[in-house]
Amino acid sequence: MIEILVFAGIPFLLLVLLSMLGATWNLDEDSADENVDELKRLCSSDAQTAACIQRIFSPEDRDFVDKQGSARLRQIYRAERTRVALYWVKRASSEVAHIMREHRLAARESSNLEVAREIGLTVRYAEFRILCGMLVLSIRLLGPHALRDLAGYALHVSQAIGRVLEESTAASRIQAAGNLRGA
Amino acid sequence: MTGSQQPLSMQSAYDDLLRRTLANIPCDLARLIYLASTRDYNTGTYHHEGLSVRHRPGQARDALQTAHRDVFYRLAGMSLEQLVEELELYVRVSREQPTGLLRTWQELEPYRVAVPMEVDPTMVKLFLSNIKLALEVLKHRRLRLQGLPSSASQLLSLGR
Repeated sequence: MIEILVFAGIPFLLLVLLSMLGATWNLDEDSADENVDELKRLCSSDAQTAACIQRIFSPEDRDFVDKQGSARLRQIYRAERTRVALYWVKRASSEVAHIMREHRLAARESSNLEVAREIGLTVRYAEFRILCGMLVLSIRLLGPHALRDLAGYALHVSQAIGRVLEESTAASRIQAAGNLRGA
Repeated sequence: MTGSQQPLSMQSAYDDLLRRTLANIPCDLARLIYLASTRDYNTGTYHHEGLSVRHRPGQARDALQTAHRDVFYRLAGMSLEQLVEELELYVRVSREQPTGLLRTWQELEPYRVAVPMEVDPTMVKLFLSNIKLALEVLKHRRLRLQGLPSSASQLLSLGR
């Protein structure tokens, strides 16, 4: 029982720690010291921004760099794309933190506060912070394409499981048929 | 925002700019540099003599600003491979010595001032980073053509 608690507790503690650190963890090289209001104004979630985010995490550019056959280029690419990806996470995190701060201030003065809605909002915010922390961690440890790679790997594993299941079903059928003939 | 989404008053200035000026520039990177050059360094306002004569100054200014942003968005949305092709074309049409141009761009980073104002900062980061990478790719290709390893570029820069 204690072992289960320890094993379940470590990831939970890690997530809590990451959420507390948020995306600001070890991101000194690209400190976005712009005014948050300015950022909020500038950063509209339009199609162009979405395409930009997709481009950052897409492996298409990495494949192109790989084709060039230079270890130095690959190194520069990884460093550059990691920097941009971390910058985006930090910006998104600071923007939402700012909105939440403003909301908290407004909520304090509000006379008709909906408790259920506020709790829901807090939970969603905690979820967002954890996601940011996990993103920072995965970008730092595995690179900016890690999430897509993980998805690709999961697909690969699921296909392998499917193949194994198919093969084992076919093998058991053959065996059953052999048994019938033998009988 | 694309030209088709602009108010009618500015649309004619925008179309005029596309037809008369930007259509004659061979690539988007050159268009970006050109449009940035019509912007005042101190005030950030755009000015184009011919366009201001044919249209109201305000409309001409807005058309230049919109065109600048549109071209930037197109470039920032390009894959690295497309951007390398774009840069290759820019080097070709500039009629400068490719080695000299690549070195100047890497050292002075003049493309930084070609970024329009009031665009998403993440897009700016991605664009600047991709230009840096595209320059490295072109340099690597040139060194490979000369039969030198990619790491030689670091030694060459030390020797300068």
